[in-house]
Amino acid sequence: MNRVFRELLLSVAVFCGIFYATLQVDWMRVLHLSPTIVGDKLSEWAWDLMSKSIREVEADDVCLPIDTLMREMCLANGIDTASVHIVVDRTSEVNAFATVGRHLVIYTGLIRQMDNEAQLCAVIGHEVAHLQLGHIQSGIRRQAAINVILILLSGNGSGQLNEIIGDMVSNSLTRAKENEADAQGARYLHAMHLDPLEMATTLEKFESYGIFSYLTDHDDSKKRADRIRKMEFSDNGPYRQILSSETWERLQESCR
Amino acid sequence: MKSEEFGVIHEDEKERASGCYVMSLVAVMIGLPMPIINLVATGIFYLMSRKGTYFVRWNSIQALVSQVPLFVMNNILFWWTIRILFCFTELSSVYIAYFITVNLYNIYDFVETVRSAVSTRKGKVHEWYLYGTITDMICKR
Repeated sequence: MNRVFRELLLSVAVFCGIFYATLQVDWMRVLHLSPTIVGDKLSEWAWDLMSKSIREVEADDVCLPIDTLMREMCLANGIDTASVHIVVDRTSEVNAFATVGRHLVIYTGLIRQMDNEAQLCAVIGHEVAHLQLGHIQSGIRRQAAINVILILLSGNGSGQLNEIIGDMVSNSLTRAKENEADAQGARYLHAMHLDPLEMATTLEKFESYGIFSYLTDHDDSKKRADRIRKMEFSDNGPYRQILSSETWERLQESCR
Repeated sequence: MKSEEFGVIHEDEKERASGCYVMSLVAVMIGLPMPIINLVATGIFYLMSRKGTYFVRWNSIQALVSQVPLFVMNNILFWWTIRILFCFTELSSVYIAYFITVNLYNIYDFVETVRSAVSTRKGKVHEWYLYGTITDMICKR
C-alpha cells in the first residue's frame, strides 16, 4: 500500500509539474491567437455561407449614400467605421437585420419604403445598436456554431443557413433588447443632428406595412413609438440634411 | 513482479494477453475523440478474460487500470474543447497548457501500451509504473 501511495504521489507530482511548466508560457501570444478566435472564425464561416444567397447591390447610386449615412452615424457616435459591414440585398422584402461577423443587411425593399434619410438612419441605427450593445454576440455565435456544424454534416445549402441564422437572430432578441435598440438608435439620430422622433415614425410605418419578420418577439409598434416619443432629447436643431435631394432620389430609383 | 512468477505461458495466453493492449490501441484510433470508447473496450475485454489464466487476467486488469486516469483527463479535455468550439468559453493559455500536458500523457500511454503488447506476445510481463503495482493488489492468483 505504501508503494502504491508513493508511486501515486510521484505520478501526480510529475503531471502537475509538467502542467505547471507549460502554464508558464503565454501560449496565446506565442501562437498569435485571440481568445475569441473560434467564435470569430465560425462567424466568418457562417457569413461566407450566408452571403452566397445574398444578391448584393454594388451600384454606386446605392452603396455610396448608404456608406455615407453609415459613416456619419459612426463619426457622430464614436463608433469605429470599419467595425460594421453594411450590405444591401436586392429583394422586394422590407427588412433589415444585424447578423454574425458584425454584418448589417438592408433590403432594397426597405430603402424604397423610407420617406427620408432620417427614417433610413433610424433603421440603420436600430441594427447598429444591436451590434454595439452586444445583443448579437455570444448567444447568436453559439447558435450559429451549432447550426453551421449541423448543416455541414447534413450537407444543406447556404439558403437554409440564411433562414436559420435569421431565425436565430430574431429569437435571441428579446423585447427588452429591441426596446433598448430603439432607444439607442434614436440617440444615434440625435447625435447626427437628425430628428430622433423619426425612429417613432419608422416604427409606426413598419406596423402599417405589417412587417415584423425579423422581430418575432416584438412589442406592439405603437407602444414602441410612444416610448421613443417620451424620451427627452436636448435641442440641437436645426436638423441637417446629409444627402442631397438628388442623391436620395437616385437611391430610391436604384432600389426599384 | 517477475515473468517467472507467472509460470509457463502458453501461446494462446500470450496472444490473448497481448490482444487486450492491441485492442486498447485500436479503440483509441476508432473512438477518437470520445474517451469513453477506450475505457469501455478494455472493460469488455477484462470481463471476457475474468475466467482466464493469471497471466491473461493480470494484463487485462493492468490495461483497464491504465485507462481510468486517461479517461478522466481526456474527458475533461474533450468537453473543454467542445465548450470552446460552441463558444461557451474562450480559448486560453490554460487550455493550451492542459492540452499539451494531456497529449504528452497520451503519448506516454501509447508507448507503454505498444511495449506491453510486444512484451506479452513474447510471454514476458511489462509492469507499468503505478498501474502494475495497483494490478498486483487487485489481481489474485
